[in-house]
Amino acid sequence: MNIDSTKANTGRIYDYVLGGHHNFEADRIAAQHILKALPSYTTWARLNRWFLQLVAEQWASSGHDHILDFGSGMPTQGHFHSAAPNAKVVYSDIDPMTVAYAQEVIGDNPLVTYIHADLRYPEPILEAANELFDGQRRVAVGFIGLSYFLDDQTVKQIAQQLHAWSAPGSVMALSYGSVQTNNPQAQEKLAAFQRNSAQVFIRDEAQIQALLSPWKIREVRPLATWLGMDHLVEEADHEGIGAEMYGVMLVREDPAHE
Amino acid sequence: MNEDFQLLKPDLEQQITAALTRKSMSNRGSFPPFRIPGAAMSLVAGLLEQSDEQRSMAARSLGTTFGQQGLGLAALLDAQMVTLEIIAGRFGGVAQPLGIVLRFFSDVISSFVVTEQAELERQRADMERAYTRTVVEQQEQQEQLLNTIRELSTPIIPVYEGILVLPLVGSLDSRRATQVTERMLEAIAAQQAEIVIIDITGVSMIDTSTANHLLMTTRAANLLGSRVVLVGMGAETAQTIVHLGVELNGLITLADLQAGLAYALERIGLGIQPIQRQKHEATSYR
Repeated sequence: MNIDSTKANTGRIYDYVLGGHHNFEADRIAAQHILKALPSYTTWARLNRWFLQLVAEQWASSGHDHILDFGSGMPTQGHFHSAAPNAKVVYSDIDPMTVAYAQEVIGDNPLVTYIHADLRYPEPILEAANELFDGQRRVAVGFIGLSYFLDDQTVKQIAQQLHAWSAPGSVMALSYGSVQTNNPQAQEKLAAFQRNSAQVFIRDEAQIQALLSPWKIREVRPLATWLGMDHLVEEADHEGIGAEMYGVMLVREDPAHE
Repeated sequence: MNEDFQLLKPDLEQQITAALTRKSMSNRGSFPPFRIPGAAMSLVAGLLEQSDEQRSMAARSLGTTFGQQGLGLAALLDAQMVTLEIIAGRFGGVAQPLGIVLRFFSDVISSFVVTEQAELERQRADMERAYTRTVVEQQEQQEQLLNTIRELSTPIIPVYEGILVLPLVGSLDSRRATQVTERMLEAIAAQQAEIVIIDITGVSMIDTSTANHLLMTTRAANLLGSRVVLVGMGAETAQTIVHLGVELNGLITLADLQAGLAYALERIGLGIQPIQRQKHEATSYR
């Protein structure tokens, strides 16, 4: 485990951008660098987190109270266990430091587990889910604010593994980013983000559907539309490169009824 | 006065909702926009409380709630502005209603700021605790790992009653030589060993201080009533020892572990011999 509070970390940068204080000086500096190149990051980060809370409310009202979350980052700023306090939640993240902090933040909550794991090898996460959910595999999968940090192969593989593991009726909520890929400025802005945080993968709806198959897309909308906040996303938020962030709701259908 | 305020309720709720929505990007990630209408309604309900005391209590409680939930200060200030505009529009420049609004928002905001500060300190404390715990855990893990390596690097094998073998592998610096000595003397005392065979076949290099250390170890073992046999010395190590001028007096050196074992067994009155095939006459079936 590498402990280095002088090195910026994606999860803590995100916490800072969301207005949290679970971050260090290095994270705040990195965030400022990103915001210089991509001032709309604050808007998109907030929309992602608010979409997550909207999803949590929808899941709670439709009886989905077993939540399996990937790339969770800091479980702060209204994450699943706060937004759906009666649900059982398995969080996971690849970064050991984030997990250590997260466990401190969560404290002694029997409904919540936070697993340190790489989603390319999801066995420990699924084992933890089996245990916390008492074998219940009709689950709600959180994949919000994550897909754009993962390459195609990784997204495809985890989607298939989750489809195989989960029971029919399971649902997934995911967000993805999109820009005008033919715009030279787009590459420049994404490169600035990559320098200060992580590499970003941009996709369109057809690519997302292809990668997530056999999960079925139920609904795709811009995050602001989901939240009824279209009027609050300003022209500048699209960064002159058509930057947009979408929220997708998916379902795992019963193959027998397809 | 209060009835007049009540009449403004729908307008206040609508305008405060609009103001909070306009500033929703100032809210933290923990305060989603779909909570805004509820927040606006509770602000108006607080403002319309009957007595000054009830209003002040409601205001402070709302400030705490909003601070915990992550409503932005900019949004709160905008809500105050539209409320003042509505009240001024209805009552003109009359001081009392404007004073009620100002006192109410002042209570909300001061309690909000206190909560925000407490929240900041709580989150920082979380981070510090987690950091400390993680660093301590990391140190413990490293310590454990080092212990394991130490144990693995100086195994002491009791091959027969009274005979210990200590195979050494890798480089042998002074620090490790000290560990070897300590562990060996402990083992001699614990197992009452008569002979200890130190096998240095796998040791890549020995320097003066290490050689001296081995001699001291030998003397200490002698004091405990035990004899040390050094086996597996390579040509290079032998040359080094001669070159360094280290006197190995009192130390028995033999070519390899096999010779060492044969010597040790002989010292305690035993030996290794081929098993004699015993010829059995099978008579019982005849």
